[in-house]
Amino acid sequence: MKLLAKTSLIYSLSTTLVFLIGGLVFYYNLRNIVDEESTEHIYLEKTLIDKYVKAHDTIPATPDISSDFISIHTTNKPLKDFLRDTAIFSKEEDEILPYRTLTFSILAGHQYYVVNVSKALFESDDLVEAILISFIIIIVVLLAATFFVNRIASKKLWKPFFSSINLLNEYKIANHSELHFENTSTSEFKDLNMALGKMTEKIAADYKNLKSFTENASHELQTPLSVIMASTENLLQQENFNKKQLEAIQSIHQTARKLSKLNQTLLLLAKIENRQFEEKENVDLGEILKSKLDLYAELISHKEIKVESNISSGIILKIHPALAEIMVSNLLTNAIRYNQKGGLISISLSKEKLIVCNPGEALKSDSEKLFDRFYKGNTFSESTGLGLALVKQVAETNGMKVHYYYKENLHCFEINLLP
Amino acid sequence: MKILLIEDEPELRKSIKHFLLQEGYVVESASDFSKASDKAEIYDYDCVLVDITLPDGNGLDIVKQLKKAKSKAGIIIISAKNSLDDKIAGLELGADDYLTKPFHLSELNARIKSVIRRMSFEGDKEIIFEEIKINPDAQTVLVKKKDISLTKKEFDLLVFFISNKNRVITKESIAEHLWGDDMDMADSYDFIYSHIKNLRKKLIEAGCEDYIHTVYGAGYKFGNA
Repeated sequence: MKLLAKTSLIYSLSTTLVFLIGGLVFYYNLRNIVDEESTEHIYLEKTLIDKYVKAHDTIPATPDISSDFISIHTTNKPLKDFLRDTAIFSKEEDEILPYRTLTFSILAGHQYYVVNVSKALFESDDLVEAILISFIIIIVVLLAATFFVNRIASKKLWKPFFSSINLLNEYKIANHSELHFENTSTSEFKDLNMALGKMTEKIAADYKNLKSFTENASHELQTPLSVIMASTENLLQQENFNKKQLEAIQSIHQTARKLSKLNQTLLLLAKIENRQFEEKENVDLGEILKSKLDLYAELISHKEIKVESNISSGIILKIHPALAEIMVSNLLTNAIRYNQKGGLISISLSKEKLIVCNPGEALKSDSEKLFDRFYKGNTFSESTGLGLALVKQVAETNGMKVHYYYKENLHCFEINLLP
Repeated sequence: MKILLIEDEPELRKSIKHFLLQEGYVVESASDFSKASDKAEIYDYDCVLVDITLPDGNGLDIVKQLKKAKSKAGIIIISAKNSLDDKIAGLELGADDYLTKPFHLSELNARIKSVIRRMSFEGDKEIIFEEIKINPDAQTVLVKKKDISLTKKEFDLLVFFISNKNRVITKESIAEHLWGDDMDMADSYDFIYSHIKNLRKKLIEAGCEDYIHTVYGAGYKFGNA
């Protein structure tokens, strides 16, 4: 729920509650005032009658005040004043209406009279109805007004906030771009933008440091490794070594090379992770598959592997071309490496997915571990254990999903190309 | 053939220089940018090997300087950075090749020869070793003036062997030369073995002497026994 909707809801609920209580108070107060007025009016009537009787010593013939009922009849003894509420049926309105009646006695010409002065009270139902209707109208108008005012004002007030959010969503640390927040006079948003600005600057600086550190570290490692490789290669040329010594030198040479490859691959993984391959192009995945199959063709035929491929043409991915090649070649070399002599590689490329399968025994361990760095299914000492981790990293940073399944004696790697 | 080697790491400079001298090149070396820049200005070289990161400057500026002076030298960049951007920048400036550290000396050798071959006049483009005559542009191999047919990989292998004649070549350097960087399969060595066997068979059948020798524990050697 949006903040705006939430505050509006709370606002509306509390307004309604306040109006409800206010309405009740209003109703009782109004009724009291009206009732008091009626009572006062009745007593006024009594005073007028008293005055008349005092002056004329007789009962007035007809009441002057039309709206009030005044009835007079004789009695034989005086009564105490008596005020009561009654209900009288009104012919005109065809309903029972509330009245307040004062009954008092008066002496005129030695005869006691009973006088009933009645006055119509407010009809409660009508009053409640009138108040309710007016209050509902007021509430509706008020809520509508606040709703629209809130909406318009909030949109304007929250605009800097949403523009900051948009900026953050589009922010890519690898782009090295600074964030330029919209100017705002709201101090909360000013604080927020300032904090965000400081934070992103700090992150960008740390990122840059880390990036240059990994690159420098890798660089620094490659040079001594080059020295080892060049020196051992020179040593190999000397003729006065025996087979064992040559094997030892060759092993140093080989290990130095392996170390450097490991280093390069880790650096590559870090670079992909840091999204340093953001220059995307339209890459024809089918063409890459074909060219890589071509590159490994002799290796594949050497292992007597049959390739069953079903490659749709014109499958275009938006990706850094080097990454597409890394992904494809790692999938293929994986399928070649863990294949059997006389085995099979099945490749299928469609608009939705790329599937590469090779036969083999079922995995003994968790299949999710396949994509872990340095995980080796079989202990092929030549493998870095980073190939599938690279495939996963490339796919995920480009919005694709990789998963593994085992079906009918086949290990299959499926990449969902659609995000 | 005169080569200028620009490399700041002394041990590596020594190793490469030693190797190039053995290969029969005339080698001059420079350990920093200013020395390299001076030498590139004064002398003519057939090939310049330049490291990008130098203590007092960027190797790419040497490439610029050579290109500005319309130098005829082939330029190979050697860099520890396996960075695509540097590679593209270097090649766009006019470098002829880009080699990432660490590399096999035999690979460097093959690249130098290929660059020099490309720079030279038409007649020098052929690779000749004893009775073998290779035309790299047409991808043809003649043994005793008779055409023999090789697969693409066998052809590349033969050129690599002749570029590194009389040197011990490791199996890894062959594998990497033929399949590039993303090749690290254990069984590729087994494959290389059968590949070399095929090449050797084809050469001998064409009446060639057996030039391919196995150096136990180390690799292979191409040349007169």
